[in-house]
Amino acid sequence: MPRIPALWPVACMLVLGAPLVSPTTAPAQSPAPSVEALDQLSLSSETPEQGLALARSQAAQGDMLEALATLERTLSAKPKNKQARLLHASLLCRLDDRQGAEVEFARLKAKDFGKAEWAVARAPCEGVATPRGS
Amino acid sequence: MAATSFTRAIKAATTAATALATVAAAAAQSAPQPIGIASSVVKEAKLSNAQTPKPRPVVVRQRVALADLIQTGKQSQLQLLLLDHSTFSIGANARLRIDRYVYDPSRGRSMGSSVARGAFRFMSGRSSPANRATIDTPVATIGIRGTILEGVVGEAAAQIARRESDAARRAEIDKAGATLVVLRGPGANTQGTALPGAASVTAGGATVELTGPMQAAFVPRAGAMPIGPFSLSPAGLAQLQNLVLPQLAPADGGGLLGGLLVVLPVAAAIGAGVLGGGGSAGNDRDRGDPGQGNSGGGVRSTSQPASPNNPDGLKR
Repeated sequence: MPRIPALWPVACMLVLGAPLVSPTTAPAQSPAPSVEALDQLSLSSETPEQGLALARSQAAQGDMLEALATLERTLSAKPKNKQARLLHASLLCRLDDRQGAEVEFARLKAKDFGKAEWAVARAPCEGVATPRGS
Repeated sequence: MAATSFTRAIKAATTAATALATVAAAAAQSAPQPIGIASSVVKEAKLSNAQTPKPRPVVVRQRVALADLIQTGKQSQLQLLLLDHSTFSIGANARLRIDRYVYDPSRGRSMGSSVARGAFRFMSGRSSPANRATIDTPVATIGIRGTILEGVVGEAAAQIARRESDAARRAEIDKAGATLVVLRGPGANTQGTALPGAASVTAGGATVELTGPMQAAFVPRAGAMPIGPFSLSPAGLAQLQNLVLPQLAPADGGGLLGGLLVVLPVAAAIGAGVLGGGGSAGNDRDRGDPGQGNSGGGVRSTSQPASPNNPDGLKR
């Protein structure tokens, strides 16, 4: 099993927007559907920074698919954003789409990221237990 | 006299205002109810419908309603965000229409759609075991149960499938309507609130079930039964990704990436069925070659050996 870097908690925050305790309960009660709410979601992911923040928040709440959709929007506007691509790949791991994640990771260079950041992103694909509460 | 003119003018104005309000109300009544928005648009996308038969450019956050036909241009892509937060993304030169959409947060979502050509990805939004969706293509009907699903309709489907499956290589193919479908997940070990995904591909009176990530099915032409399930290779997936999200495609078109991925040991192990996806990478992994394990998925008709007269290897 790979050694867990000392900067793991910080890296978790950077990559996944911890906490990483995996929610298994049902999603919070959904508000009434409206296109205005969709507008807000779209507006909240207009810049890479906004998109990353929203996706991390959604992932932290367990909404992996919504986080993935948010990153798709972000990446359609800024396809070269490395942080968004790394989080996108990591989310595929967390959705147990490991082969899809490997395709994404293969398009990235580990040297473009901090070691801990890269390790955290890859951890769900490598079966590394994520520290609770980190 | 002046007072009478003033009264007439007021009456005329009131009548006109009433008429306008009536027209506006009628227009509002006949205006289709939006079911989502165009949440991202890259390059060229156009929308047409019964009220607007001439396709008009789609802009970000434009409302999308039932029966709107959305078409993308070369190197373009578009993401639809639906009321239940499901997303429907299409790549270049695609045609998509949502034919039916019912969403009740307490009872789930039901959707019927059609993709006439091009690459697409559907991702379920708010999880509910009751969620149902179908995607019709010219040759197949895809049933979706809470999932990430990708596919492509047209010649590209045939190009990818032929590299992945012996039975696909032998099949007579309709280049316009051939359909390749791959289940991306979520897998059984998914985290968060997402539910493990599943999909079915129905054509020619048979249904193939896709139950694990990377399981794929290919329908070569109208009336033919689905070929599969087989495991899509990393190179095949990379090709499909380039079609669904051309913005993310590498500059070299993915050729080098595809080559690298083939030798990735992790990917190869996964392709070999570690995740329960099916047969060994690089070998026949489809129903055209019985005896190859395909434990994860299934087809609701008895398979039999492939032959020139029965290229998909299924009983007719």
